[in-house]
Amino acid sequence: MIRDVRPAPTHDHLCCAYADPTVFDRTAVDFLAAGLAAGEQVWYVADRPPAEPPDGFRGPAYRYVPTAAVYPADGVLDPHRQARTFFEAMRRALAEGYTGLRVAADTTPLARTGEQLDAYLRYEYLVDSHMVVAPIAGMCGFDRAALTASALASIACLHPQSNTGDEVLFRLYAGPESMVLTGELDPTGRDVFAGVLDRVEPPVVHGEITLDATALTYVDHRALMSLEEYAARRDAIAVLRTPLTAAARLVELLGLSRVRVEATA
Amino acid sequence: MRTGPAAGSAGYYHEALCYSSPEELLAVGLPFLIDGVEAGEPTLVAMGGESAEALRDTLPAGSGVEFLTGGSVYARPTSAIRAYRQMLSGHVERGATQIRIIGELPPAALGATWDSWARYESAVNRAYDEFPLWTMCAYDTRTTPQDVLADVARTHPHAATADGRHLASGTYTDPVDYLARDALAPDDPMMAEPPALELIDPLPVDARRAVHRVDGGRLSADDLDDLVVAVSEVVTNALRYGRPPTVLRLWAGPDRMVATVTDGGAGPKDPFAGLLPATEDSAGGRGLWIAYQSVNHVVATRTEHTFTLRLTAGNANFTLVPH
Repeated sequence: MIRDVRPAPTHDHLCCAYADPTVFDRTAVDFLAAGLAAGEQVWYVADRPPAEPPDGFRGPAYRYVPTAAVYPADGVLDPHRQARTFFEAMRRALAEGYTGLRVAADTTPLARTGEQLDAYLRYEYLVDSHMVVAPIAGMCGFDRAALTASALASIACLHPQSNTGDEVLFRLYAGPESMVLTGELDPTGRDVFAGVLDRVEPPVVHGEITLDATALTYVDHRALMSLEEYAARRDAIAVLRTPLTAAARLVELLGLSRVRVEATA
Repeated sequence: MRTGPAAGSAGYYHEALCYSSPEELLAVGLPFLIDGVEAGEPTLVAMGGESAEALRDTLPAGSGVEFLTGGSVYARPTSAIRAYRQMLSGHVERGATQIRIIGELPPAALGATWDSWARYESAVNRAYDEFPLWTMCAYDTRTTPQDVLADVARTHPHAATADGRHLASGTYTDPVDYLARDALAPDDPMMAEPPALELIDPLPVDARRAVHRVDGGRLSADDLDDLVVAVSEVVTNALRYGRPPTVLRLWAGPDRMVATVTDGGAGPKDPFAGLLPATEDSAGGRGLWIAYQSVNHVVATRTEHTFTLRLTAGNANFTLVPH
């Protein structure tokens, strides 16, 4: 089941982890069908076309795109270049009269090794940022058998929608003004949170890394310390905008100097 | 140069002042404060109520004695340790050769939560020993229960007398031994009833959701947030360092919530666990310290096969039942 953790829908970007390839197929077909109904150009990116494409997928708005046609052969992305590829494809789709671009891709080959995963996580954030401001929607599929639990959690946490349930309890994704942090940050997410911060590189604006945590429901001292260490590496102040009153008390208890908690209603 | 009975020695001079009248309090307290100011030592009063008023009224105007609000300093034992350590560090950095404090716990601390304050009085013998500190901890023998006074003698190495002498306490017990004993805290009467919710081997996330569910809007947002933090940390420690099964039980009353977390282990080996700031590499130490900082009462108890931490959010000073 795909769960949407966004406090308010901004963009469609979902993670579909599958053990059975037909789960990817079915989820992708539903995802793309919604795009066709909305007048978007839709791409199915995988090593082979869907087993049973519905009738609606026979028109010009639907394209099957082999994985090798859009992603590098060695699976190591150039994050900026890859994000730009889809942005340009979206512009062409708009020029052709579509309302946007919607891509369902099996991206397992881009996240198998450590080097691939590092680049992929950065790319996820960049393309997610495009999705917030432009009519691009994406669904990223992952074969569970090919990824470690930690790699899968790192990928899933960067998607506002995911079918990974409680496997990772927090989400960190692009928002209209700053990155959005939702869910719960506890010991189970400690290493993943620290790891994705390093790879994603949230923007520093006027010396501050702002995280919109208005829908964060729990944060522990480990996550705040990870944030402190990360902000120090970026020579910045991390600003956590959250209604959680315990967050400010923990920051004071721990004597953190690079995390500032701003209370929200 | 350090003045008074600790002259020539380093560290903490921790003295009890058990008084039986306002006159006795003033007879010892006033010279303690005036001599401190005259010696140029930071000299403070951390008391509330009549005791503070009596000292304030008797001290000369502009005496140089600083009055802290007793009630806020002594909100929670571990918060008091943290606040005092910060303050003492500041005085030492500014060149103080001795700091004098006369303090008195609010009356509520001598009731249902006394066990945690007794542990505080014991733990500070170590927690403040890096500072040139002389404190007089005032207890009014007219209103302080006898078992509390016995704990005072066990936790203060020195005792001031009304006629100006400084005696060694015959029953003083080293904190390592004192803190290793189980707390003798009265049961919360709420716990005589079955818990509102019981979970076996919950994940921390399930434990947090259970606290929210049982709270049902009883606690303030701050108290609820803090209890959730404490329960999450204690369950995390039990799962990681204890032995199965870990059992979380929750009770809710009109003015408070009680959570107990029991596991089959022996609990932390460090007798100061939870009371003093822990380093990141001590097993679960920082999480436990945060739990102690986050709720109004923490009680640790052991049986032959179990270790239990009881956490109370909201009003921990329930009316004592006879025991």
